[in-house]
Amino acid sequence: MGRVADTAGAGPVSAQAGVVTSSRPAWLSEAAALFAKDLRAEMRTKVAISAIGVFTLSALLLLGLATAALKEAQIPIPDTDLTRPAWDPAGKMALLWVLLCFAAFTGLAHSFVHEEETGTSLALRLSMPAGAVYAGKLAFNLALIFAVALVATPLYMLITGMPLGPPLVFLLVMIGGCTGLAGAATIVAALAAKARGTGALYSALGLPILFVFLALLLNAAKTVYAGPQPALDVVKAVGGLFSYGILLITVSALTFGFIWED
Amino acid sequence: MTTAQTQPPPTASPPPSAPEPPAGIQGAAWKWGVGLLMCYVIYGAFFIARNAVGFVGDSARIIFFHVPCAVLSSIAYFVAAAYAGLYLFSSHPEKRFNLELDAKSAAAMELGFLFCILATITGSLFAGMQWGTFWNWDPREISIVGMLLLYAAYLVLRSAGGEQPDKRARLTTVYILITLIPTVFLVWVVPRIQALQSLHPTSVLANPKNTSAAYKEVLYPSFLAFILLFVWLFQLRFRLYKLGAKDRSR
Amino acid sequence: MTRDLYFVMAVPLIIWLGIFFYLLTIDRSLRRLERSEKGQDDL
Repeated sequence: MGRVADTAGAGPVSAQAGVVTSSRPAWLSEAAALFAKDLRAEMRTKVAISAIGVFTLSALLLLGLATAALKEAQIPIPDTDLTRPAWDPAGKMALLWVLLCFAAFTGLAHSFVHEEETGTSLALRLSMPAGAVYAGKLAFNLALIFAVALVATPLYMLITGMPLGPPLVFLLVMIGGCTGLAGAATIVAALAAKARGTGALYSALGLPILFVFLALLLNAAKTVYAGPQPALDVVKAVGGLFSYGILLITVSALTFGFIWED
Repeated sequence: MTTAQTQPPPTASPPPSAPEPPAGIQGAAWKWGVGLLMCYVIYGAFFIARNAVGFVGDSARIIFFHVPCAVLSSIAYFVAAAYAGLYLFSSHPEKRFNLELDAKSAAAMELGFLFCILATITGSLFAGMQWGTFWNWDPREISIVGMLLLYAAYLVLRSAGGEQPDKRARLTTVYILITLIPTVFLVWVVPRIQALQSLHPTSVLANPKNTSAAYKEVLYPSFLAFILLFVWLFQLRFRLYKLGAKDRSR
Repeated sequence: MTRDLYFVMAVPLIIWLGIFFYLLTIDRSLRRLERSEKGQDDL
């Protein structure tokens, strides 16, 4: 299973972020147990994955319909005989990220809202430290968003004709993007679940954080498709993306306890 | 929660005869100073400063009002984040989970939102005069609109944070600390992204040699005046909170 | 040239209006506080 393999890779990130808790192995196994529990529940009910799946598929179809004419369109460059694509690859990637951001925000709230609704959050609060809960939820959301990106990206490429670019840089941008997305979505879900008016609040709190992230992604997308680039520029663009996600996860791990224990 | 018990003493402990303005800057004298300073800035912007090279017509005079607003809108966020950090992490037992710190961070956020709106509108006017378009997604414009979104989201969370002041304080201060990362990126990283070319005259102003003495004569007092105005409004907002807390505990 | 100056005039005007409306909101919550003994204001 590709999804499980993805989260195994995400383990070290959350382990570093969870310095709040004292004994690392016990804490890590608790987080793994919570992750396994969430995954089992998801496999049984398929609430989150079906919500994201339906959203992503219908959004992709709508996009395909709306951009059919734009996909191959060329516009002339003034004063020359040359033309340039009306919708350049970087623009295509930016739209893919807008799609993924909204997809993440339709489904990732589920993890915390579900605990609050069924009243299991109290039991969870008593049974394991906040750091473990955060790591478990983050791992689950990472798995979910990686799975969605894995399915949606090839489909999106097929529909809009987005090229791959340099494969390694492309892969790094996708991983960095998904990490930041899951980091932002997890902590905002925890906040929104504790406040009133969960649904509307969730997007209102999350999208401003993602606005900045999209600016970084746009920069990275331009780097991916701008042809051969100085190595430093690539490192800067991808590094900015990763540092945003990792910083977000670190601060979330440090402050998660304050919203979880009440 | 222990914080519920520790909260009332801070509001009850000051004797009723204590003077209302907080210690440090006392009396109304400095407020008169702010008023006069602001008059000087408005006078200076039109009569001391001359039209600057590289700016269309009189547009350079907008700098004296727009730049302090823009700077204040990011400073306010860091002030709010400092109070939020103290509220959650202070090792001092009387400061930790003291609702007054939360109120101070909320006051700074409110004022930041105000100055952010003002900086956005005046910046748009500036852009309209200078570049002939009121909005063109310049990096600085992306930054200011991102800040605007963050401030608005904070105020939404605060209004939806629930009835218990304690819980609302924890949710909102955590949100400030998390959104500190987008803020840092907006203030220092986004304006330096090369893929988004800038028309913004920051580089002109950053070099002191480019600024004439007449401009400094007005610009520095302008910064001072706006910062003092911020302090004044901040104190007003906080005193209003204290009155409300006293009223509630009665 | 003179039309530019009107644009510049608009800037301090906008800033004053912003501060003015903020003062109005402070005034309103203060009045609410004075009126109700219970003080059900939300900060």
